[in-house]
Amino acid sequence: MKKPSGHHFDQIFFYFLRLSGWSLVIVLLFMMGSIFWMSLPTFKNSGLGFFVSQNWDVFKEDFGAWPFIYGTVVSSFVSLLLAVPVSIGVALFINELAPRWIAKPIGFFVEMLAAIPSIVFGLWGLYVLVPFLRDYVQPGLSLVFGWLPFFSGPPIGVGMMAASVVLAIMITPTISSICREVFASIPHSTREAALGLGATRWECLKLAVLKSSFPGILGATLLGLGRALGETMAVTMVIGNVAQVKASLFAPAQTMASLLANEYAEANSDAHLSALTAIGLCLFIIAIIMSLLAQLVVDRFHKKVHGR
Amino acid sequence: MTDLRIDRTLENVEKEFLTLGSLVENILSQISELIKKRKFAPDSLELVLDCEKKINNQDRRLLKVCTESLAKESPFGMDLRFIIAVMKLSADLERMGDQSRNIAYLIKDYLNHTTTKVDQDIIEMCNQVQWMVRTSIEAFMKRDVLLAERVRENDQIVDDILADMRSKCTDMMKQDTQLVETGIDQIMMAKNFERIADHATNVAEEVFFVVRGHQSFDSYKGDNL
Amino acid sequence: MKQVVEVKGVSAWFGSLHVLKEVSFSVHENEVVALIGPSGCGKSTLIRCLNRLHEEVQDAKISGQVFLEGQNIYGPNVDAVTIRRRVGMVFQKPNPFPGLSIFDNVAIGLKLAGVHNKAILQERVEECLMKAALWGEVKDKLKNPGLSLSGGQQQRLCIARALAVSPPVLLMDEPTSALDPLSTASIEELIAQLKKTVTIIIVTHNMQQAARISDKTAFMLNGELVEYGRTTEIFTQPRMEQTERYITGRFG
Repeated sequence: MKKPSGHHFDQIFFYFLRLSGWSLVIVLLFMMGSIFWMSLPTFKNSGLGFFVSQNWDVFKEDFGAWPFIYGTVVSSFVSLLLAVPVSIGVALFINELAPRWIAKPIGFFVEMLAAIPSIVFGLWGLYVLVPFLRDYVQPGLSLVFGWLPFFSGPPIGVGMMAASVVLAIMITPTISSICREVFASIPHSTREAALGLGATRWECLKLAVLKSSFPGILGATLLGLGRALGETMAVTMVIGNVAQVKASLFAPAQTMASLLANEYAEANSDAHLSALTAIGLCLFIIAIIMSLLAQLVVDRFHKKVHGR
Repeated sequence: MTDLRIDRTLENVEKEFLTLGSLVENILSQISELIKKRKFAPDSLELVLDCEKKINNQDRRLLKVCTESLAKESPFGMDLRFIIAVMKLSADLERMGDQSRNIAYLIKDYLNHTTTKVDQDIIEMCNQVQWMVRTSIEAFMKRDVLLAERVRENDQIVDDILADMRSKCTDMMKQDTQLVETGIDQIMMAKNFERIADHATNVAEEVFFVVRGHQSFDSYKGDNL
Repeated sequence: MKQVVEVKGVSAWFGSLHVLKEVSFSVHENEVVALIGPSGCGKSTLIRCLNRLHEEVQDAKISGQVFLEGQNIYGPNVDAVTIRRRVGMVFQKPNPFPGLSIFDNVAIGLKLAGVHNKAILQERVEECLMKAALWGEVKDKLKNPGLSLSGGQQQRLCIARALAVSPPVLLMDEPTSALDPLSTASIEELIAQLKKTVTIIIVTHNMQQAARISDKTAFMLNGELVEYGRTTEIFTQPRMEQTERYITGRFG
């Protein structure tokens, strides 16, 4: 076969690029379309009340998404609450404070955390974390803070708290490694400028590193949130799998992802499948909203910090 | 050595300076010829004037090259001192041309007179001055402070010859009033030669300035080398 | 004239790399001293020894004494943070703090030193921006981010920031090398004005700049101070052959 001349090859190449670009859009639209189509029967049945109903009766074919939306959102946000300060702390420690011979191994271990498969986290969560929470942490919290609705109820180990903790551990490497990159991208002279003005070590970090990293840290957080929202296996194994809305973190719950993992295999009726798909659509939409929000917020803060 | 742009610029300045120096040596040779051979052809004066005009033109050209080199290179240290020295000496060399022209005019009348015993002194002075001009330029080009010092010391010799001639001429004119015009011409020629010697001494002194930034050998000697 | 900075036998290392070798010289009040020399000669390290920034680098060591207005900044019980408030520093690439407004950038030094009175801050910020010849251009947009200014303006902002705590000495590490010629010229003019109230030590690799703006020049090579003297002498008739070779561009 004759080798195409430069000009022809250019054209072929650009067609290929255009195809690749559009193909992803097409796949996304197709996914959205098919999920929406499959969940249509549920909305025909329950209407928009689907999103706020707490019922989940397979036989009566009465489905509601609210407990699962609640479970997903709360577990993700609590995990962020735990993970973000720790991730920032770890990133600051490795990048700014620790001497090289300590920083390297710690950094390595944090990266290793990210490599652990989700199911392994689930197993560890179930057999190590849950008993620990049940026997020590939750009774302790109950004693001191039992008057708060968050720490009321019996300490059974599995539940929102276990799921949040596992999620927090899983998303920390993600958030911290992005934070590390953001911190590293700040030119050394900015820190020198802070020190040169007579800032202490901490004042220097606050002024030169944290203040200007805010958009980056926010972006890292939102990325971690995205991961937490969709995390399935580890959460399923420790969250208790009870479709309920309770204020207490001790209580078992259910996330959208864990519900799907649990029930998809056994769903027989079309109504059930449709309801599950509707839940999937929910998750999909929430994930997209988070992603768009992330872009907007990061962009706005970037302008505020960097002026252009 | 390396082929740096600044070195090429400096070489160009040196070349133009040398051209000016050669023209001055040329005009002195012409005058020397006239004095020694005692022959003044119809176009002799014209040749001298022509050479002097060339000297003036080259002086202007050299000045221009130096100014442009300073603007282009913003030199420091010895490079800066060298270019500044060349600009200064350009004026000295141009004055040498003027003095040579003056001498040429005087020679015409001088050769019409009878010879006197002072003629030898004039020839001696001419030789001394030629040597000083040639050697001072050589010292400057080579940055040779010892050679420059020898030229400086020689200025005294020329001054002595002038003083000697002055007294001889005075005696001569007192004894024979017919020789007054001759005497005056001789003294004026000698004075012009002496001025050329002074300018050559300036050239020698600039060698110290270029090499060490000092004007004279004395302050140069005082430095810890 | 009063001696503001005296450097005595300062040597410095990065780990086992010996970067400064027994450097000694002194700077008098309201002088502008330029440090020149080829890359790696130690000039940037030297100024970082004058405000104790050198020791912030891992494995950095220093020996010798540096006297700031008579006090040895490396003496026992001397707090580095306090010293740094008395020595201002401006860097090669303009670096206003991101996330801070123009006003806050200038005020931050004062806030770090414990000054929070709004009236005082307002007054000092205006004064320093005027000293940095920037007030006219920014007085209506003090709340804008520091980074919204042009390169030359940012550098003047950094100068105002450094001056806010009224240090007696201002260190400048190649302050104009990242700027265009017009901005460079305006900062050089600024330095000529600033020297009336502040003593300036400036590192520069631009010899013409050193010749234009400084009173004294120090030439460094391989961590050693080769020659130190009046700028006019260093650039017209230096004493050391190495200095001559460097300033005539025949180095290397």
